[in-house]
Amino acid sequence: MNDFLNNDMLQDFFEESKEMLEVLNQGILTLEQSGGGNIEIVNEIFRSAHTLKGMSGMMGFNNMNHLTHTMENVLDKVRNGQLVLSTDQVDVLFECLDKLNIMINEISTNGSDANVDVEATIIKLKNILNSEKTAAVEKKQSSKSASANAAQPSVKDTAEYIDIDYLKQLKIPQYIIDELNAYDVEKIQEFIENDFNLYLIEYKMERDFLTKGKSILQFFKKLSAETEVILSSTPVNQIPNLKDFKIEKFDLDLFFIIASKFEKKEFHNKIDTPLSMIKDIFLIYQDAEPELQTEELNIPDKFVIDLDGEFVTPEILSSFKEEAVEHIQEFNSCLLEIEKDINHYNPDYINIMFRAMHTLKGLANMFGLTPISEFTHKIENSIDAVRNEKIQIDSEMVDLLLKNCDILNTMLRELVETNQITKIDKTALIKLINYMNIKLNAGDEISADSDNAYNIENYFFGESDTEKIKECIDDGKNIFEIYFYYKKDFNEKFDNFELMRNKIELFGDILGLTVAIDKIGGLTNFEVEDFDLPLKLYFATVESETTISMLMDKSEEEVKKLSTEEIKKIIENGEKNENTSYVDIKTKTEKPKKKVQPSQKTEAPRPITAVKKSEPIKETQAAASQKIETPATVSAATATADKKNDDASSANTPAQATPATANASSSTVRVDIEKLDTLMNLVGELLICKTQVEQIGLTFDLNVVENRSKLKFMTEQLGRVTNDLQEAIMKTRMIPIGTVFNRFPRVVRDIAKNRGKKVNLVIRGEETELDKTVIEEIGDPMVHLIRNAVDHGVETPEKRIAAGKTEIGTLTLNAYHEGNHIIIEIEDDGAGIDPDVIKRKALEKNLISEDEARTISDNDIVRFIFKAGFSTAEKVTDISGRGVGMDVVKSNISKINGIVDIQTKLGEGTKFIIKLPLTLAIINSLLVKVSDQIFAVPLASVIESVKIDASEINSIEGKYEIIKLRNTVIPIIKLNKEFKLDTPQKAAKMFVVVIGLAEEKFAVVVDELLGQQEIVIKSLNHKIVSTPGIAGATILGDGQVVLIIDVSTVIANSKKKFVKTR
Amino acid sequence: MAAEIELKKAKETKNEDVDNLRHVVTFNIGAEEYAIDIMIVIEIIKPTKITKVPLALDFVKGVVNLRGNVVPIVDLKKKFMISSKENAKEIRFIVVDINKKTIGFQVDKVSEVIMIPETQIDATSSIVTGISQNYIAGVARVDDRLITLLNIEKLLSEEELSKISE
Repeated sequence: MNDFLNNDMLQDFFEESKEMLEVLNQGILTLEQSGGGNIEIVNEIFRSAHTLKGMSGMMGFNNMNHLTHTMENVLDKVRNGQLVLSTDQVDVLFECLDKLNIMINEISTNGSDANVDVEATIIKLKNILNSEKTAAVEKKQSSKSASANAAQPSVKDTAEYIDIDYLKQLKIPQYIIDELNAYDVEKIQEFIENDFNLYLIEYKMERDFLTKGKSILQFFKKLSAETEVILSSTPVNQIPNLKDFKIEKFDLDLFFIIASKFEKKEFHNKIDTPLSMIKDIFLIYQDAEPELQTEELNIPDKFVIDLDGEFVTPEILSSFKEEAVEHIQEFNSCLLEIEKDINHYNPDYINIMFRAMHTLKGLANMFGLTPISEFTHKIENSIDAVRNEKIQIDSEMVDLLLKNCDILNTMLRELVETNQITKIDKTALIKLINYMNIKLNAGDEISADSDNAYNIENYFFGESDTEKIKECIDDGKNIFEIYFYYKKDFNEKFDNFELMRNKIELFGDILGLTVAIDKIGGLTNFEVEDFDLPLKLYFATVESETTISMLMDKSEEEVKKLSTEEIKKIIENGEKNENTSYVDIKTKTEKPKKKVQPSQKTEAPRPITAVKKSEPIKETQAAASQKIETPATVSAATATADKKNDDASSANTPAQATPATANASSSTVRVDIEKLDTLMNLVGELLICKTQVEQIGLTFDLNVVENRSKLKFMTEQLGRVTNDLQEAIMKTRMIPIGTVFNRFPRVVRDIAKNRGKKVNLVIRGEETELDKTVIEEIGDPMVHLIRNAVDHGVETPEKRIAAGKTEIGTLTLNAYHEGNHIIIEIEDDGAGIDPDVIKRKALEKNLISEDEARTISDNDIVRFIFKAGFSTAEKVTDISGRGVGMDVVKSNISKINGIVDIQTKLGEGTKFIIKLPLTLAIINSLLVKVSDQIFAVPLASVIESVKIDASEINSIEGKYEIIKLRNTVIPIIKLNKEFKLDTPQKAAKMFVVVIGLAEEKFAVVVDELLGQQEIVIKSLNHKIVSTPGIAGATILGDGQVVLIIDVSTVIANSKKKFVKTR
Repeated sequence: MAAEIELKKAKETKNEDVDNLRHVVTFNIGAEEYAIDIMIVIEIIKPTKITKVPLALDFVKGVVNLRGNVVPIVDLKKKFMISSKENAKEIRFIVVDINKKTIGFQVDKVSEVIMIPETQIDATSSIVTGISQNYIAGVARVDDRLITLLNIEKLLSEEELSKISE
């Protein structure tokens, strides 16, 4: 299991589950809006929930698994149209999403979801389910009892006679129980009472069985000599649908229940003939050794490999493991592929999976690793059933298979490390087997509801077949049912099946071919030498019965013209069974059978029990799957914990040079393969450049003119490639902002609903890409702004109508590029902010003087909402809206070198504009010189730079300095003072760089402006050099290290002084 | 060469097993000779242009560009509060890796790489060096020289730094 839970996996899990949540979130929203009618969306939601379930199950996050499972159940109901979600129910779903989100975050920080309580939510979900179920069940029951009563009153009696529970205790597979009748059961009981052990042998009659007839005969002889054969049959429901029946590919499965006095080992020895066709031998009941009763699987709890044997050396073992792991991986990946689109997967995957397990089984057998071979064998069987289309693979099965793969992996590892397997976890395998059994009999329920069929074969026909039949009838053709045997005699006559087919097709249409189940005798009269596979052919022709008889070389008795009534029944049944292509065909006809001996089982349909027994099983299974505690949870926890530590210590990405909050965001980026291709190309070009430069270097002579131009050319080339390369690498860090935007529809919905408002959210430019680190940081401030916009900006419908606006408010999110920046706009058409109110507040709080208040522009005054403490002290929300935590928004944005601005018009709406750098790794900066040292100021926060005279700086109260610039008063920051640099500036002319963060402007006095430059941010990752006011460092072209000024900190620091001096 | 000779000497005189030898870089600060474990040393470079970091601790000289990485430089002499004249030409930065972080130490002179047998190292020394005992891993006698083995990891440990900032 640990192999699976490495950090990469966890990372993938984290990212993928986030994605899934995103999809769910949006899907449910859309669903609610569209009133639940959109099947595609429901499917999508369902798939996402399902994937989440699968992933959490794989990772061993049980709470999450449990929750998603229940969610899936609910969604399934929705999908099937059994449930239309009410608003309250949608709320429950959203609650689930929230819980999931918490869990995912928990997992990424602690590696476990154990702390998140999901019970309450699950109960809510179950309530939804139950309210639905009761209705459905009532309906179902009424219809069922009606049909049961009408169809056959005697059915019930027979069914009750068979004690299903009793058989279940015997570990008899479900599909066999279905085959048993009262007489068989009685017989079984009798043997058990007489201290016999019961065995089940599964036997595969392969397509070339005719050539192997002799060995089968030996086998049977041995069997009947040594043991008592209770019954034999074929699991009829495993015979494929008529449509898919191909005689060339048909293997007949048989099973025998055998009573024997032999112990298991002896029994194995007795019948251990080299028969490849024996699929399985189970001990289904063992007398006098009750402790072994549980041993349905031939797997011990412990396994110690015998290394004394010369054959299995540790080296061989480890190479075996390697190979085995490969196979399992292959198996796993196929499973996952299938799961992606479980309804339309590529059947090749199943084949690959089958081969993988099969090979592994062979290997394990070769080395005598019985537990592994047993596991693989069972898994192989289940895949085989899928391959033969006996069952349909579904998510539950995928989950089970994955779990078993995990266990296999664990066993393999333990085996190689310690030469033994101390604890073999069979629970998952048992579950798989149970699941298979249930699945294989899934058809029961369906057939139970339908009428007692006239002919089992009817079920072979689907709608398309029936249509064909109708056509044929319309053409005046007769339909014949022809019995024939596939045997030596057959081969003599027709060489092969194809020839026969070609021959008879000259005379009519073959409607279908199948095994004539009712002609297969029981073991009692089973003579292998005489056993030919009875086949039944449906044939439409205009020819007469006699002609067909002659053609097929059959007696007329075996060629039977179907009456119109019979055909009608076939058609009816075909239509009925259209959606259930793998219907059970065991419901036997009461029609007298020609070749069936009286000693054979007397068939009786058991529709009611079939339904009854499978339901509780499913439920207990579900319960069990929820309870299973995998050890993985613990290891996952430690794994993540370690990872976290690693992350923390190596968190020196440039972006985190500024104090970053600890967040649970992931440290990987998914990169579009195209971007990587571009990178590869560029690196290739760079290499070419490099070799060319090297070439020149070898023969370099500056005096040769040609060399000079060559060198110039090469450096240009090199410059171009490096630039492109830089850009391309930057792009790999870019992700569309849609990933952030997508969570907002939900936010808007929730608040709007809560406040009784109607808001239409318009999202534009979600494909705009920006750096991952920026994306991670921008989410929270945006949520804040959007919340405010809905809460305070957009008015209630009544107010809106009163104001002459549309009832539904509009909130627009827009993102677009502007140079090296990305602009995000959040605009509402709500009430806007009243500048007078802000002005009053500002005056109250002494933030501006009366004079200033008179002159200040509306735009400037509105920006006061970003001031710390401006809004939080009192409820601004009551009067104008906006404001709660705006200073937090601002500081968050400035942390990533962004700025935020606001435009508002009373009565018309408000617009927030966020300007962010595209990336945090490379920024455009203004290089300035202060006290002979160069500093870089992020250009994003530079508003302008002005040359001033020293006299323009005014000192207020001799404590702080200001400068008046175009009628705006701007406080001065002197970097040499801030940074305690040596020489004071004493030039008459100097420069000020006006830096702005949100609404605040400061003028930084510098000695010299050196110009703009793109710089790569390098972190100062050592504590001893991390200084407040310095965001990082960069290296200039000449190799000089230059420090980057952290504008927000510098401003914050000088503001502190500002406040102090006041 | 020097190292090899030392190694030979060590082997000849003491006949020590190589396992018990400490491989160190020796350097001078003022009159004293010091040594640090060679395993943590990345490289020894000549002084390059240092960019001062404002408001940093006084023994932090600044940062330098080491092939595209920004590496802080600590002046050991200042750290140890030794005052003496050094020959500017002999000044070196010993770049070391401490807990996966690269940091350079400025020393007056780097002398050699030698092997010191464990037996020649006194774990606790009575010799007063003027440096806090915390940083000293031991004192070794090699011929007539006294070499102080520094525990440089501890030099910039959390508690040390917090002590300073207080």
